[in-house]
This record gives sequence, structure tokens and C-alpha cells, in this order.
Amino acid sequence: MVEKENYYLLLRSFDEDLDADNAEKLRDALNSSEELRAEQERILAIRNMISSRKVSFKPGFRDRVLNRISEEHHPQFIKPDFNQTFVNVFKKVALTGVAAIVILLLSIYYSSSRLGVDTIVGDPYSDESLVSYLLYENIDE
Amino acid sequence: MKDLLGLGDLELIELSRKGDDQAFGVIISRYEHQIARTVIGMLGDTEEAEDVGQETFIRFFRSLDKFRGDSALGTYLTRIAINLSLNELNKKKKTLSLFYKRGEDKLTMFDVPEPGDEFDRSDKKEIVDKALQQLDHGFRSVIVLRLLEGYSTKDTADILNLPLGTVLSRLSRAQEKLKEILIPLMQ
Repeated sequence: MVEKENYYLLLRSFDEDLDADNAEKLRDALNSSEELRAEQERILAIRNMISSRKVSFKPGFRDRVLNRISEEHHPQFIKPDFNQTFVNVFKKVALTGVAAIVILLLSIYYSSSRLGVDTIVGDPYSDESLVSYLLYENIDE
Repeated sequence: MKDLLGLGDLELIELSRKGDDQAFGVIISRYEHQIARTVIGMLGDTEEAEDVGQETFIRFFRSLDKFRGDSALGTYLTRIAINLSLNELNKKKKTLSLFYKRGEDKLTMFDVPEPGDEFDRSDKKEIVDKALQQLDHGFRSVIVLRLLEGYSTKDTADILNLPLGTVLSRLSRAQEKLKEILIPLMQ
């Protein structure tokens, strides 16, 4: 069984300079413990396994990055984003709609000199409505 | 292009600032393997790693004027790459937490694979990749910078903006975890 303190000294020794006392302690422990030496070799093997790992991006990485940069600098070449286009079109339609409503309200105001629910939606008891009502009532009979 | 290859980083940056795309291309070629080690170490060999790798260089391109050369270009790019990778992992963690019950995802963090499962069929690269992916983000970043990139513990602390003591203790604990995961597979 490896002594815990020596084991932690061993772990630390890979990444930091131990002070003289701890360095000597670890040296003695390594000389006297075969198990600790085996542990040292195992950790070294793992570190080598990780540090020797070779990875890379798929071929053409440089060109892909440069293309993206070029798209940023020349936005006319960027394919339109559907959502963004939809939002832009919606904004235009909404603004036109609001403008139409405002013009309609103004024209109602100028033609009837007032702006109320009756002038906007129409008077349900106007003569015309009354005539139609009576006419339909007669037809039903 | 041939002439550009002989130029130093600062000269290439100066040319890139003036709009020389080829000069920036040389910078990418020079550092893409280093950035690949960082982002693939952090995110695995995935589409996200490629995206984060690209984004690293694009962010650098956008901030060319801000680069004063206080740190080496490789370190500067690594810092961008590691921060983007950590952001990506946090995003993923948040998404996962929507699907898993609280605490359930933590079980997989240090799950030691049983000998005989799919690890046996994987080659060395995949084994290391999967072992790294089982480390918690904080441990993984110090292992990637110290062991994969070969930065000193002081530089690792600087890049991660952590105290040196934290980096040293994370390295010790990460090594222990990696030993737990990898030793059964190496035998």
C-alpha cells in the first residue's frame, strides 16, 4: 500500500518543483517502495499517452475560416437568412398597415368632424340599416 | 505566399490589418493544429469543435487592432479557444439539465468504463478522447493546456485566470481521475 502523503508528493512532482525537504522525502520513498515506483510509471504512461495524442481539423480548415471572414466583409454574398427576411418584411407590412389605419382615422375625422365608435364602425341604427332590416324581415315572412 | 511564410507573427498581423487575407491565412495555417488540440481536447472530435476552432480565428480577426503583442500569439489564440470551448460546454450543460433530473448528469462525469465495453474496440486516440470527455470542465481545461499544449503551470494559470495553487491541485486530481479511467483500459 502506497503511503498517501508520498503518493500526493509524487503527483505534485510532475508539475511543480518540490522544496528540498519534500524532494528528498519523495526520493527516499521511491527508493524504498516498489509500488510507488510502479505508480510513477503508470502516471508517466498516462501523461505520455495524452501528450502524444495527435489531432487536427478536417482538411481545408484555413479556407473555411477565410471564406467566413470574406462573407463578413462582403455581406452581399451572404445567403439571406429566412427568419431575418421574414422579420424585415413583417416590419414593412406592419408599418404600412399602421399608416393606412392612421389615414383612415384622419379621413373619418375630417368627414364627420368627430372620432367615436359610431363614426369608425358605423351607426347600427342608420336609416339604411333600418331599411335593410325591415326588407329582410318581410322576405322571411 | 512563399515570402509570407518566412515572416514573424507580428509582421503577418500588421499585413492582415492592412487587409492582406493571405497573411491571415498563414497565421491560420501556423496555429490551426495548436487550436485543434485545445478545442478537440475540450469538446471532443465533434462539429462543435470545428465551429469553435473557426470562431477562434474569426474573433481574433475582428480584434486584430486590439492585439498589442503582450503575450505570444499562440497563447492569445489559445485563451480565446479555451474560453469559447468553456462557453460551449456550459451551453451544452444547460441544455442537458433541461432533460436530466438534477444531479443525474453528474453521475456520468467520472463514470469509469467497464473493461469489455466499447472502449476495448477504440484505438488509443479515441480512448484518450473519451477519458478527457469524462473529466469535469475545470479539470479538463488544465489537462488540455498542461499536457496537450505543454504550457507551464504558470502559463496555464494565466490563460485560465486562476491562482497557481488551484491549477496545481486540479492537475493532481485530474491525473488521479484519468488514472482511474485509463489504467483498466491500458491493461
